[in-house]
Amino acid sequence: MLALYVARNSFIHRAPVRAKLAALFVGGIAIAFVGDPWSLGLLLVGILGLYGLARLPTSEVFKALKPILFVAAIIFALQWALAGLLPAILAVLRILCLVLLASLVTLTTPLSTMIEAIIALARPLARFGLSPAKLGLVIALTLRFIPVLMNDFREIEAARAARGARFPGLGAAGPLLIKTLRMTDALGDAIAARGFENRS
Amino acid sequence: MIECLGVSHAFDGVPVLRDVNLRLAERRIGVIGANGSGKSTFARLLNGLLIPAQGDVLVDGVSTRKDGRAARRKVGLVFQNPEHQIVMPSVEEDLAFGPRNQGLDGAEIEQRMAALLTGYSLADKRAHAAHLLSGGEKKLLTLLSVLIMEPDVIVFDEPMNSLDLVSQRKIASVIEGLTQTVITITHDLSLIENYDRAILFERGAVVFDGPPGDAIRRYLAIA
Repeated sequence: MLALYVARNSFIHRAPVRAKLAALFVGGIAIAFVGDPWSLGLLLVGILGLYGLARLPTSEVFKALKPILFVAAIIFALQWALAGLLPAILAVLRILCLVLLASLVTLTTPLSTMIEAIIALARPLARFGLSPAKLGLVIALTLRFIPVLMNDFREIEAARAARGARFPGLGAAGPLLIKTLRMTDALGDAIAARGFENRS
Repeated sequence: MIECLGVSHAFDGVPVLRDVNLRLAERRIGVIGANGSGKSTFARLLNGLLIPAQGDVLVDGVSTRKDGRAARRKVGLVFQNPEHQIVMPSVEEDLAFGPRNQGLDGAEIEQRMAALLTGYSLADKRAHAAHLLSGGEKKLLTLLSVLIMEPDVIVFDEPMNSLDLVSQRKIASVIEGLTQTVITITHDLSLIENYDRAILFERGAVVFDGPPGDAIRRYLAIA
């Protein structure tokens, strides 16, 4: 879901964003209910075919899958050990199908269009006190700051390692949290400075 | 024009600005001073992001206390760290963020965006992920994200911070070419040498206000 829009002239790119989100929703449910590995395999091939129809480069498929391969491998191993080979294959096929389908939507839809659609869909929730514009901003900020925080984490880790710290990963959590909290103050100012408060 | 009338401010009881009285009307104004002298707080007061504990800041006669939004429409702020100012994942999305909040329509946003990206040689990075830009490009993006909102005044908080020499020269030349009123808060004294006016802060107070050459000499004497 972290994939950024890739501009191409395809019918999938031109399709209305609401149709794509609806297809993702229905597709996601269908993937969860299919219990046959051959059917899921066919579904996976079909989704890859959609990447071809969207004229997306093969590298985008690998980019979409790269972040979840490690998690998928762990899930596969755990499922195999606890439930057997077939459930493990089904779980991994489902993850691959879902990630590729979700990435297909983000790769073929400009983020602003996606956020505007989510804001429009969330408008009925305004009566319960939820601001649709803020929801859209939260989604955008999440996409924007995951790579920034990952980079900060790597920098803190490198600084700790340079001073001989043990237990990589664990000790970086505190400094990262403090850095993130400081950043949120500045970010709040930046968002206000660019007029976000005008939106409801 | 921006006016500061008896402005004082404190954080957690610690004074950071003391009785600042300024009338900012020149085209190029530099603000210098040591770390902790109140420069960045001063920058945030100018567009109403911060409301002074005492006194008033007027932007074209309107108090930021009464209408901070109006002040922010007229006074743009380019922050010190671009990572904290870029709020959207891609270049074009980030550029569109401000004007969309201003309520501009898509065609107007597109027109402004295309003109800026072409004019500042960033057109090939339009769909680029913001986190993959170089430091200089990120700084330029933060400037363009303010320019696209067409403010009358642009406040730069340490525009040369963490930039390499090539990027520093590029940003300096971009700032020089701006038609807007520019207020630059900086440690880079060469940047403000040719400005119309320079203000020196020390421990939250204005200790010199006049020609940049004299301000720089005074700063070097007390530093």
